[in-house]
Amino acid sequence: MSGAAPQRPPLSAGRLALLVAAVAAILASLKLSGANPALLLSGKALRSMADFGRGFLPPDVSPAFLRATWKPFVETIQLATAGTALALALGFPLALLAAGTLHLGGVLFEGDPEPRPLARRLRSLPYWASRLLLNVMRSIPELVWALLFVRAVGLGPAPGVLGIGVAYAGILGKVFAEIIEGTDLRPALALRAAGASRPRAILYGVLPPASRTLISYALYRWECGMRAAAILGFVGAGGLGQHIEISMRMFEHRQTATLIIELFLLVALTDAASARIRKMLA
Amino acid sequence: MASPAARPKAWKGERNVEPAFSLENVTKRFRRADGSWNEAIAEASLAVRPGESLAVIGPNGAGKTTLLRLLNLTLRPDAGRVRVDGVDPAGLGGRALRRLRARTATVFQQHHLVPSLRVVHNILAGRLSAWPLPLAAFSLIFPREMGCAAEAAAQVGLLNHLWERTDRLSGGEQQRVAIARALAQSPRHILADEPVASVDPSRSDAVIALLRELSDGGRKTLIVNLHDVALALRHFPRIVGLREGRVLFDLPPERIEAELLARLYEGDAVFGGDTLRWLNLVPGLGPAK
Repeated sequence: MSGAAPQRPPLSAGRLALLVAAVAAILASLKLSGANPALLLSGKALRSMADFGRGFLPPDVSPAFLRATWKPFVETIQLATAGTALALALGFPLALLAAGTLHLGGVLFEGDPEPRPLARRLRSLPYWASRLLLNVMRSIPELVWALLFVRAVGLGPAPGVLGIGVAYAGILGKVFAEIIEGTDLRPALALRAAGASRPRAILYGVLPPASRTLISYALYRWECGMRAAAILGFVGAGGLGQHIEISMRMFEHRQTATLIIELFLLVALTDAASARIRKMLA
Repeated sequence: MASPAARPKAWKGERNVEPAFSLENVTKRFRRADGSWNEAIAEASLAVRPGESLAVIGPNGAGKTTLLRLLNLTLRPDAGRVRVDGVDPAGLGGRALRRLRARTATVFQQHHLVPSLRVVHNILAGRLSAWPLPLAAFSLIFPREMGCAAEAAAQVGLLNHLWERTDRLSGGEQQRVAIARALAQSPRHILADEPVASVDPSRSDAVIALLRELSDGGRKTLIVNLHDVALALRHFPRIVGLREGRVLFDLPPERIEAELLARLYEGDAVFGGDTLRWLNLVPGLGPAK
């Protein structure tokens, strides 16, 4: 029994290398992009920014203009909400297929009859197919999706909803699948032991414990959807974004300021609403 | 003990009933982290009559949990044969296997309940094998078979907690929810893995008595893994001692002697070199030689 505390194991070479590589990558990308923070603080840059900024003051709060912004305000909420709802409808089923713990063997399969080799290979097919589909949906930004859909369905809110729906389904599907993969499977194993089929064991044993995290993340995506809806307005999807774009083009900077404040209020309201919903569900 | 008339219909009139559970030379191996194999169950044989109650005792790592999982058919033996009600699950397809599993309810050491669900849903989860998927989903919103849930809750004294969230209950109450879920399954056989491990020691007699009463009342087979020897000897007419995956003894409690227990627990981390002194504390056993 020696009194000395056990020595701290040395920092592993692999982790050290990873840290050095991360720092080097950040420095290299700063250099490559030519971003120079010092440039922002030069007198000339500050002066021209101040001139530009002054054009926005004071924001246009005339009742006539405020009334005119009510409709785009509501439109933005509709765009974001419909888009996120579509993303949920597409992303959730895909997430169920893309969660490896539900399909690729492991706890939920213990004691089950051994599948034939062909059946075993087929079993992982939906997993790989859904992963691939989610990757494609996610790697194309909502703006590009929206532009593609404009070709198909014409200008207006529809391509915006479809754009958010498809791109966000890719993100929701991946994150949902990871949340499900991180869920404790022992309650589901207990149900399997009692004779429940795998889908039923997942329905009662996996989804309820995961649901709070799933809902929480979906609400966060809804909030992101508000910002995305504003951006999509720039390409003609309507809403606040479209009015910001028009006002900037007309050099009506005081109106632009009002619209940006409304956008901020919208995001803040969404944040407050989702916090409230989360609290109700906790 | 059991009068034949009170038995379920399937066994009525049969003189030589199939064992509820039988193990023939069963071996189950697990791979250790270093790649070597550990025999959790080694050539074990055991037969349990329908409606019988027995306790399995033994040190940590003796294979008690593995034995239970072989019996509830969530593990397959590497060698030998496991049968439930005379049926060998080895050749069964998915559906038939699920039907066989549904006859046996298991109460797990850590309950394995869903903490965020209300008690009623955790109890009704025992009905899942009998429900089609859409009805099961619908039941999460409007619970079905409430009569069954209420009866099971009443049997474990939790009727007033039916609508509470399960994680708001104490450890002992959650244990009783797990028992109620097992009852809702209306099983022929009940398995319990260390059911008093997370229960206040003063309550462990009550929990075991409850399990005995519920299984006796329904003529159900009951197999309980217990670490507490005294508890096992007090409540069960048959005691199986498991050591290193083998059945060391299979006797009624009155024939279990201190020496036998000393051999069963030799080198165990909990009872350690103190085994003999500890055995003197077991009521009904004379001082060890």
